[in-house]
Amino acid sequence: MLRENGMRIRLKKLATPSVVSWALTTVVRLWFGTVRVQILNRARFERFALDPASGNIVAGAWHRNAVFLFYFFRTLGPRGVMISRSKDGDIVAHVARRFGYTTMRGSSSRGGARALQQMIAYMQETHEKRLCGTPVDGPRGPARIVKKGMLAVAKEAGALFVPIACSGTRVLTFHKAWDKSMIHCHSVK
Amino acid sequence: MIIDFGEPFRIAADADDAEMEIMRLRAEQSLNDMTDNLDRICGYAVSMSKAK
Repeated sequence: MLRENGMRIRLKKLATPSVVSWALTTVVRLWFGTVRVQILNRARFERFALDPASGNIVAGAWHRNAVFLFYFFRTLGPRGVMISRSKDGDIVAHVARRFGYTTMRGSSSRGGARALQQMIAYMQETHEKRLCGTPVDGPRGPARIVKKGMLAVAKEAGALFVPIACSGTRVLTFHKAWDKSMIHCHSVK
Repeated sequence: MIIDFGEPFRIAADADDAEMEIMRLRAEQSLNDMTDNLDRICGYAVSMSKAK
């Protein structure tokens, strides 16, 4: 029993946000690396997400797709993301930084105003194109109702607001979750 | 999986609360329309995460 407890304590000590985030980052890379993506309105994507001339972008998407979009945008230029100050948020923030995101910590319930100001400052501090976002119905819903935060960032930073949606045929859907989160799975075609 | 990019829009620097609400509804409508369309394309009869 003592030995079992000792093992539990050692495992708990090992499970720091850094270690957990490293494991999660690896799983996310392996999992989504096999998902094939089709982009509708590709010209619009190339014009606004890739072309430096289009200026800063605020990306707005539903929370249900947050995990995949987080992965999808990992190769674009400088990016910022707003993440809640919860304990889960600590791990997500570590994962975000491993994927190259700059993180602003806060949400509608705690620290939101400060995080929004940080995001505006992040977009205004340089002439380099930057992309920012966070799920517009997060972190706790209601699902598919837009909150004003990201629109306020777009307004104050003079950035374009770009709505982004996604779906898939091979997905794991968390039906009991408030947002019906989707995890996209390996595609064969 | 399929991703769709909606029509981008800019919000005037002097937009007041009423104009911000119009923009919020525009964003919401755009995201809901795109999501419903993609869910239909993917074979879902009713969009899975529709607000109740």
